[in-house]
Amino acid sequence: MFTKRKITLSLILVLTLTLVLGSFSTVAVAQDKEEIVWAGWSGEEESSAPSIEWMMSSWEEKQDKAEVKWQGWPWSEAQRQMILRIKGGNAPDLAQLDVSWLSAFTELGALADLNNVFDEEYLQDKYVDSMLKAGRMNGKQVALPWTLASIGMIANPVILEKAGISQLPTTIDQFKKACEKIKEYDSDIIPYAAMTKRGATLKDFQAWLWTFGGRIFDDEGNVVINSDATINALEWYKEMLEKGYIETGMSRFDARELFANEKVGFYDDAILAKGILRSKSGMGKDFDKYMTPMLRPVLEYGDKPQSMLWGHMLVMFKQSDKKEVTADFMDYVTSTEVGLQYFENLGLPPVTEEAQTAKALTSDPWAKSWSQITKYGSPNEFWPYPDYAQLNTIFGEEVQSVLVGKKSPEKAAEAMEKRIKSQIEG
Amino acid sequence: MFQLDSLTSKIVLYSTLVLMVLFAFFPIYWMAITSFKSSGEVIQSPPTFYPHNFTLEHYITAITDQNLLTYLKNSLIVAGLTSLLSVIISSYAAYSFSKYRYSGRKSLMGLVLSAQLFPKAVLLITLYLMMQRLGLIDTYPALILSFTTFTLPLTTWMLKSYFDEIPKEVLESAYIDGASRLQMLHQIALPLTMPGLIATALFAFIRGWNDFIFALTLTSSDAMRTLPPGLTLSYLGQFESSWAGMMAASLITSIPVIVLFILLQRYLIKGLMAGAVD
Amino acid sequence: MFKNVSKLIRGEGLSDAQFGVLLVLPALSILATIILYPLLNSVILGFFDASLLSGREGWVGIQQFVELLQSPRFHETLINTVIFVGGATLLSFVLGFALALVLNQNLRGRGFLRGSFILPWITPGVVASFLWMWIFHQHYGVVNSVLSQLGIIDGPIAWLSSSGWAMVSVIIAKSWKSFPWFMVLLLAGLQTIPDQEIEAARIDGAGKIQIFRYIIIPHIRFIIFVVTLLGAIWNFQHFQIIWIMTEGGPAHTTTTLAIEVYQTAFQAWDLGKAGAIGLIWMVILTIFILVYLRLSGGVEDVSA
Repeated sequence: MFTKRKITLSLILVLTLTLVLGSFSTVAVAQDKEEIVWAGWSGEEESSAPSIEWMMSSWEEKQDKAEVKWQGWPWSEAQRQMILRIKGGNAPDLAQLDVSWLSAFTELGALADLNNVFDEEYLQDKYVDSMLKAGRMNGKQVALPWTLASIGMIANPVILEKAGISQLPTTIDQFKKACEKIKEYDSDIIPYAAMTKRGATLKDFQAWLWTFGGRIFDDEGNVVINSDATINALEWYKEMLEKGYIETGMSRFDARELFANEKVGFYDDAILAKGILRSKSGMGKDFDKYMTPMLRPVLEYGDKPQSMLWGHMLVMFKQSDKKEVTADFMDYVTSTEVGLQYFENLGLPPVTEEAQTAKALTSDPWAKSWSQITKYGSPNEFWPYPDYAQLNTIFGEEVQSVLVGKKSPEKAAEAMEKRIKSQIEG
Repeated sequence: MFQLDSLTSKIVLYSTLVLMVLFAFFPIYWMAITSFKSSGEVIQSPPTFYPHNFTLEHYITAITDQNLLTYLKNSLIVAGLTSLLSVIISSYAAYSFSKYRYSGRKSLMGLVLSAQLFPKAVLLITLYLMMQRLGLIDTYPALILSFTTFTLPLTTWMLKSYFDEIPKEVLESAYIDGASRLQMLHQIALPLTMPGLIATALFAFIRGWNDFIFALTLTSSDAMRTLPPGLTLSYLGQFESSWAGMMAASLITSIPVIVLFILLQRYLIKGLMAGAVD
Repeated sequence: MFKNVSKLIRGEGLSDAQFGVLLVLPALSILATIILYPLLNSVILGFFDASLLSGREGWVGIQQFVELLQSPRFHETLINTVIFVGGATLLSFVLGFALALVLNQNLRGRGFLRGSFILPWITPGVVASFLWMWIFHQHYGVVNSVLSQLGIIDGPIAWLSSSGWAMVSVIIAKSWKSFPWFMVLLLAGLQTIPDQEIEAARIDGAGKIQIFRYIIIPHIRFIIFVVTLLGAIWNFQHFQIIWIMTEGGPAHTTTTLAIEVYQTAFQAWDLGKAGAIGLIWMVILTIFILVYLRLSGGVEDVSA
């Protein structure tokens, strides 16, 4: 009876059954608590993951109706993955969004109008007006602000001093000279770790574009990027590379790592850099004297220092069938209490009216300097467009093509205009 | 083959060998020692050629990383089921190609074979749409079904060559003894080619283990990812700049495949001609 | 009635040929569903305006094809593909062949060597990509370090973020992974060459180069043909290593057809355009195979 064949067949059967059953084991065990899914990227990053976990667990302790499950991806993947899940009918309940993605998600029709779960007046009382406004699209409150600031510049005053630079540079010329001095002081230090690697961080260049007086769109929404100002900005960038003041292939992760190891003079980052640099350098609060926020140098005296508005929002998806519980969680995460703790951990400013007058904020020199940077912040010009991601990609690719010597600044500006126009119209 | 008479030829021979050994194995050596260095030592310049501060911390981090274990489990399940499915279905086709004659047989064989040369990226466009419509995005069935696009041709071809090796007489004598055609397949042919079947299944498994583009696109959550996209998104995202950790995770990922290949040494050539792995 | 159905399933009452066809049906139907249909559908999308977000929107005929074929950016993609396929296939072949020739000599430990040399090939693609990214790292990579210590370069080369070197890096990484495959097959071919022929030629006074040209090459012509064709086709398709190492950058300089299709479909969400690229790709691949077959002067069928 035990023919070889029968044994083999039964082995195969057993194996199949095991594998099939194993695959079903991923089905969640029945729970009596509701579970909401929170999607984003901060839970994936070393410096912010503990804060995210703390937010989830402290809320779970406060109430026993529901639990939160985190679904994370790296920031560069998050938007795309979220859209894929929405299209697949498998949207999370709430998500952390980069403020610049709001338009794309609104266009998808995926976001719930929070005025349907929250009292409008409650929201207006709770949050700083301008921040709440950032979450309004087409008359609907599609997002709650979570933190808003600007991407600014950070300098290492210790390196500057050693290189013989007595003041933070305020004009482009001074900035160039400062870079030169740093290079002379120590050729191993990268004077300005500008974002030049593939990916969306090349959008930082927009702030320089504005510094030189260029714009992508005019007030009527026409594409005007092919201008002398743009060409000047690109030429300047190229010169910086040729002189060795910036490098190609620099990502924000690289820049942070290098800055934390005192190998960088200046770089661009968001306000949360403080927490990140403290932990990356291994020095904690002792590293504070190696970093200081800096206004972006201007072209001529009297120009306004430019910066790109930056922030995280919280959204709820229409597909969610647990809207009330989700709203409760969102309310909690953006509250003054949680916001101030988040600020203490990572330096991210809270968004409630109440928190703005908190001592922790007003007495913090870093946050105070940063509010100067944010004062003249402008949104990424691609924000209002659903094709935001692709437009950024086009912009970044053309900037890169100048840096790697593939195109002249003139040709790149021309290509930018042509491709942006075609992407918006097509 | 060549007479190693002159000194020149000896030098040419051995220096080529040495260069090839360096080229092939130094990177692997480099990967290994990086994984055992502390994060600080890894970014030292000039780099050290053996770990001065030997540490297992990156391996511990990798093994205790929940996500890594999930990716591992998913890879095992998806590759395993795909391989099983492919072997079962293709064994019938392979047997047919090997033992039966009918018009169009050669064209069909050619078609099945060439199916694995079609660009995956192009297939993916529609496969993605199909899975989306069926609501299968981010599930095992999506991965298993799409993986069969590159395992089925492979297993068919390999199994056919194994069936080819069965002498006609064995099957003929069974036929004379009154066996039905199906019985000949199930009770004679399959058991005879069992080693080949297993080898084929394992090659298909390896293909499934290594796939990147399908798994990257058809999954959207960490819970469902297999190792290749999972590792990539982790180490080009969250753990970016953790090179030692990346190397440790890489070594861990490579070990099952290396072990399988050592076991499969004998079947190597057949597998290679079928294009296994890439 | 049931009896007849089960009879049919067991294949009784069918001729041998019919039975054979029956056996093939399951596999064929699966292949038709998951390969044939998707392939056709993907390329048909090229005639439509379609987006991943909103589905098919309208027939546009050959407009997308015309746009692509006129676009300098697409020309660049084509050139990148040719460079990558040519470079990686050639390098892999040369390395594999050199090693095969070496291993064909009766060296000690030859079996062991042949076995261990396949290590790069069986390394998962992810691992190979990470590995070479690390080796080519601008600041901490071993290549830059060794090169500057040897005085060959002044400052670190930005391997993965310069327009020329990026392509070199991915070609080297891919060749590292592929050459063992070439080696094993070429070695198998070399080993079929009868020793007596070589001996006879040597006795007749032939030098190494002549032996190589007139005996070795003719014997393995077929293997060389198959190996380079298959290798090129795989390289034509290849996605993983380039994607992980450079994602097609910097500034589009390592974007091959595979990368372009993927980015168009899954980053720019433009399925129509991706389908059009796909169709052009298939056409180029077919032409390539036909031309290659013709150039190799009609080699016998591969049913070996």
